[in-house]
Amino acid sequence: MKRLLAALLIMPGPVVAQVAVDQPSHPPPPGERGSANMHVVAHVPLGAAGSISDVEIEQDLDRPYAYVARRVDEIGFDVIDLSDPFNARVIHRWRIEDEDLHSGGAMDGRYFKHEGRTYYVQSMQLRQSGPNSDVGAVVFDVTDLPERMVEVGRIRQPDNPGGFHNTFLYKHSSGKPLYVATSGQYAKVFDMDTFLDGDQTEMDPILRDANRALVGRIPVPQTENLWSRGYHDFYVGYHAETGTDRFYGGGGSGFYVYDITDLGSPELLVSIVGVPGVSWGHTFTPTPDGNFAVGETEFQYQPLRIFDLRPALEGEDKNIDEAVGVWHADWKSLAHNHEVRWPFVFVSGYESGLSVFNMMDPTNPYTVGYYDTFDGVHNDRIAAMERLGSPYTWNVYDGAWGVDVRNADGLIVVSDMTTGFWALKMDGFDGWYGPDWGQPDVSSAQDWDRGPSGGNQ
Amino acid sequence: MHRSIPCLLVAAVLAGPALAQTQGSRNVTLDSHLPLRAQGAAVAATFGAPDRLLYVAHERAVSLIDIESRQSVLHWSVPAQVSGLAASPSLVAVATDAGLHFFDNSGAAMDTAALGEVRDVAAYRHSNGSVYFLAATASHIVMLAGPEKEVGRVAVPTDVPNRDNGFHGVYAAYDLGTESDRLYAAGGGGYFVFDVTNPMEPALLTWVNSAAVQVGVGIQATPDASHLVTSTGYRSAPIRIFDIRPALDGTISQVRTAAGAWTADWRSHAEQFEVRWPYVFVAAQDQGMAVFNMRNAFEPYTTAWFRTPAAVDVAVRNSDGLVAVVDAETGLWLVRVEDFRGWDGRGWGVGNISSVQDWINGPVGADRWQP
Repeated sequence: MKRLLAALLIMPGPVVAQVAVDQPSHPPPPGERGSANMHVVAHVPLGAAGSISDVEIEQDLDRPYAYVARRVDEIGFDVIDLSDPFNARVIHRWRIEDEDLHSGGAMDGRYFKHEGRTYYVQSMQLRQSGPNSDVGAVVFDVTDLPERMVEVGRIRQPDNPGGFHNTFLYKHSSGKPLYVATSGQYAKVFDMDTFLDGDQTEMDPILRDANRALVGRIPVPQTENLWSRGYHDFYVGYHAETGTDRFYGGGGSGFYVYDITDLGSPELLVSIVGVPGVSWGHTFTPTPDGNFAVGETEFQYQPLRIFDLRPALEGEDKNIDEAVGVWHADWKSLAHNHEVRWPFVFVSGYESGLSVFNMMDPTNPYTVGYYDTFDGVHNDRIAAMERLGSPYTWNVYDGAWGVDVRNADGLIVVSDMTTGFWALKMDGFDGWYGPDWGQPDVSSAQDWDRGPSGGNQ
Repeated sequence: MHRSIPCLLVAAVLAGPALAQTQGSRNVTLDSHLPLRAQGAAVAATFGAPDRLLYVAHERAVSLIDIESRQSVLHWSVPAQVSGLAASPSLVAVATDAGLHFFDNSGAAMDTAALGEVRDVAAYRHSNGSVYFLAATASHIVMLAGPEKEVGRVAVPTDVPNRDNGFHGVYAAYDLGTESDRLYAAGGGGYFVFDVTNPMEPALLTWVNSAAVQVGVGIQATPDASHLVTSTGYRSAPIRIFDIRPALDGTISQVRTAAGAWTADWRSHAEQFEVRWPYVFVAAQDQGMAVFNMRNAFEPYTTAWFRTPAAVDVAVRNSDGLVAVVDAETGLWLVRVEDFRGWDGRGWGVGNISSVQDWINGPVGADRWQP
C-alpha cells in the first residue's frame, strides 16, 4: 500500500471518474473512516485537544513545509516537514514568549515569497487580559528551513486590539504582496513590501507607526439588522475576464464582493444579504472565473451554499438573495473552512472531518471523497455541560478546522482541532491547474513570481 | 356559495399491500387516496367535530370529506387565495390573502374579518370556556371569537430583527403546569410564547431567536409546554426542537440554540407538522409524510414515512390515529401507522394537549383521567 501511495504522490495518475459517495454518520463502520478513494499519507498528533487551529502548506514541491497554528494551551505554530510525506514530522515549534501570560492563540497562517525570500505570517488573537493584544500577526523569514526561521516583525493594530482572526496573502496585479486581515470593522490591507522595509528605521518597531504598511481598508456595507460589524473571513482573487482584483468577504449580514484593483477606493460589486438562513457570512470563496462562490455561515445545520454571482455582476440589482445549490457532509454538523479547486471543493467540516465535493453543476453538488479526521463525540452535550454549564449550547465546533491543497501534486492537508495534522491524497486528483479545467489558474495558491495573471499564459 | 356533492366523483383507492410497501415504510398502511382534482390543488386539512369529518382547503375552495364513506360530501368556493383553515364545532375559518373568511359548518358564508393577508389560523378552546380563532397576519396574531368579535391581538415585538415579516404560524395550548393559556407564534425574529390567559392582555413570556432562523414559519409545543417544535421556510432547514424551560424559569434570558433537529432529507425542508408527543407527524414536501420520535429531544429519529410528491399539510385524528396527508399535486392520502392507534397524552404521561381540542370539557384538568 505504501508503495502504491508513493506512486500516487509522484506520478500524474489517470483522472478517475468521480462518483457520488455517501459519507456515513458517526461513528463510521470499521474500516469506513474514509472513502475508498481517500488515502492517509500522514497523521501527526500535535497536542492537547482544542489546541490546533488553521493550516497552510507551501506550494513549491522543493519547499515541503506545512504550518499548523496552535492556540489555548500552546500559543504559536508548528512547522511540519513533508519531504518524506509518509514520515512527516514536526521540525520547529514556535511559541510566543512568556506563553503563560498570554490568553488566546494563533489562528490563520499564510506564507508569501518576496525578493527571493519566503515568509510565513502567523495571525494572532490575544486577549487584553494578557500582553500583546495589539499584535495581529507575527512575521517570520522561513527561507532557511528546515534549519532555521527568524522572526522579522509583528504587525500591530493598537486601535483595534484582539488581533486578526482571519487573513489572506495575495499577489496583487500591481505586483505588491498584500496581507489582508480582519481588524475592527474592516478588512485591512497591509503592503508587506513596505512592512519588510521597515527596518530601515532605527526606531523601536513597537513605537513605529502601526499603520505605516496599511494601504487599504475594505468596509462592511451597512445594512439593517447587521449581524456583525466586521468581516470574519475572506478571499482575494484575480478576475481574469476583467483584469481586476476582487475581494470576497464573509461577515456583516452575509457576503460581499469588492473590486480592489484600486486599493484606495474599493468598489462594492455584489452583496449577498437576505438569504433565508444566512444571517452572517463566515467563509466565502469564488470559482476561478468568479462566476460562482461558495458561502459558509458556521452555524449548526447550515449547509454550504453556492451562489451564482453573475446576475448581480451583470445586472442592475447588485444583491443576491438566494443560493443556487447547497451541500452538506452531515446535516447535523456544519462545514468550517474550504478551498476551491474547481470543480472540487475541499472542506474542513469540523466533526465530519475532510470532505470533497464536486460543484461542476453548481445546482447539484455531490460528495466525491471524505476522511473523518475527528474521532470524538459529536455534539458532545456532556462536555458542553461541564465546560459551559448548559447542554443547550452548541458543542459542534470541534474537529477539522483548516484545509489546504498543494496544487503541484494535489496533496491535501488538514488541521484537526483535536487529532492534529493530516496529509491525504484523493485518487484522481494529482494536482490542479485551472486551464486544464477550462478555468483561469486562480485559487488561493499565489504565483508569487509572475503575479495573478501569469499562470494563464 | 356552496353545494352538496353526495357520493360525487371521488376516487377512494383501497390500500393494496404492494403499493404500501413501495410507497412507505413497512409500518405505514395506505387507507385511501382521494385525488380531489376537481377542487384544485389542496393546501391544508383539519379534522372537524365530529372527527369523522375532514375539512380540506384548496387554493380557492374547501371540501368536506366524510371519512367513513371516503367521499366529499360538501364543497364551497372561497373568494380569495387560501392558505389554511381551522374548525370549531360551529364555524370554519379560512385564512386567505384577503382576510379570515368564516363559514358555518354547512358551508354557508358568514362575515369576513378584514385582517389583510392571513397566513395561518388555529382554533383554540380557552380555559375560560370560549372558543377563539387565532389568525397569523403580516403584523399581528389576532384572537377572534367570531367574524366580528376580536378579543385581543399581539404584535411582533418591536426590538426583533426581520420584524417586517410579521407572523406565519400560530398555535395555542393550555399549560397544565402553570394553569395558563399560551399562544405560540412563529414569525419575524423567530418564535414567541405569550401568556393569553387573559386574551385582552397578552404577555410575552419568552422569545426564541436562533442564528439561522430569521423568520419562523411553523410552531407547536409539546404537551408539557417544555419544548417547541418549529420550522422555517427555506431549503435545507431542519425542524428544530427548542427546550424553552431555561428561558421560562429565568436561567437564561433567551433561547438561541436548538436542543435537537430532524429532517427527512436535508436538501428539502418541511413547514407543517403535528405534535403527538413523542411523535411528530410531518408534511415533508417532496419527501411526503414522515413521523419522527422526539422522546429524546436531542436525538429525534424517523419512525415512519410515506412518499407523496408534494406533502404540504398533515392532520392527525386522535381518536384512532388516522393520518391525513395533504399533497399539493396528488390530493388527500389517508394512512395509518402500525403502532399508532390514536393519541391521548395521558397514556404517555403528559397532558392530553395537542392541536385537537376538547370542545366540551376544555383543557383544564387534561392531565387526569376522568373517573
